[in-house]
Amino acid sequence: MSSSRFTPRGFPRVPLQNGIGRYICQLKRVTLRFCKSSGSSRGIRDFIETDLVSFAQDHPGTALYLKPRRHKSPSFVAEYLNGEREVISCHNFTAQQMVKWLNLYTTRSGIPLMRYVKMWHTECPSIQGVWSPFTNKDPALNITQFPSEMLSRPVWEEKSATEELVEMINKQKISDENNDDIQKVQAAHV
Amino acid sequence: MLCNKLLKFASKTVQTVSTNRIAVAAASSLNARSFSAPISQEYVVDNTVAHKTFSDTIIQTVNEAVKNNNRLFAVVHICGKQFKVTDNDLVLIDGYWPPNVGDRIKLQKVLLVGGKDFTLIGRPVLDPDTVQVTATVVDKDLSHTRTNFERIKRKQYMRINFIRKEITILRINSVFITQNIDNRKEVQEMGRRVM
Repeated sequence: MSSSRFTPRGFPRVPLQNGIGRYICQLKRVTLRFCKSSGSSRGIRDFIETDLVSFAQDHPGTALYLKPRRHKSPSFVAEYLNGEREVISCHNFTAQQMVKWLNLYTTRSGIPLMRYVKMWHTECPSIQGVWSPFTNKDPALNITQFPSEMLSRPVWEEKSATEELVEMINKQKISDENNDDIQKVQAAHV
Repeated sequence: MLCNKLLKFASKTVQTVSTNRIAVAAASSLNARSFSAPISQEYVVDNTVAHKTFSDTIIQTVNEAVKNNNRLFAVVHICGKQFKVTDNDLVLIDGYWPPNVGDRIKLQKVLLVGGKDFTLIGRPVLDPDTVQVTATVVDKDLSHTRTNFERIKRKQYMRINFIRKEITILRINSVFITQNIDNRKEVQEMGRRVM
């Protein structure tokens, strides 16, 4: 049972800055090992008869070798530009399975299998600057003396009922005065 | 681009006039004290022209900033996930995704583009003619073997599956703003959609 605990973990990487200019297939060499007579190599032999030539034409950057070995279990070896080498057993494979697995190993980059801890990799983590709690804040904070009375007050204080009443009475008083003034003015006019 | 649509509607501001002036009118007509709630009247001021000049200056400064800046970042939506990307970034896509190795892709769902001193925010997506994010598929692989374990308690049900999902690695080639940001069509076509 393989578990994510035991597989090595890492970040997404691609060898040789692949893809910045153009994409280069990282698989440099494939060696097919098979037996000419045994039943377990039948699929790989079918593959060699039907699809091998087209596969080689599709991947001009990959060298293909055939190694007939008497009474051996079939397998193929994939070697990559970064020096990695993987052996894949093709015991009792069909021709379709051979196509599928060969395609998988051609599209790989050759970096050994790992558990990705991030889905993203960048060389330039921030362009507008890293955010901190002090970005876009008033620079007056820098020279504030602590403890400050202004800053230690609660952010939102609700008015008490008494305060609201006092406010309303004051408002009314002002409007009363206005009215009185107007009346005085009008009386003077009359 | 940001303000074009806004400007189409005549934007109006509301100005509240102090209650004193109205109180004068009320008092002069009735010559009596009013006990009802004070009347507040609103004057609508038309400042379309001011808005236009304001947005025009912003658009102009952003256009100049685009010319001076060389490195941009973008937030792109790929396969149900959003990534903040710049040039030469690697983005890993989990699960089945049709593009094959070596394919060059133009990412059209760009939600945001920013430079050193400006940011363009899409509503929800930016104009695909203005913003260009291109990428190359660099790697297609299977993930490590993940254990998919499920169990229902008290029901004698337990399953364990081992799965290897497909993984695609994308290399972001470029993030560009290709034209002036206010150069926008009346009807925008985006893939199969017309916006």
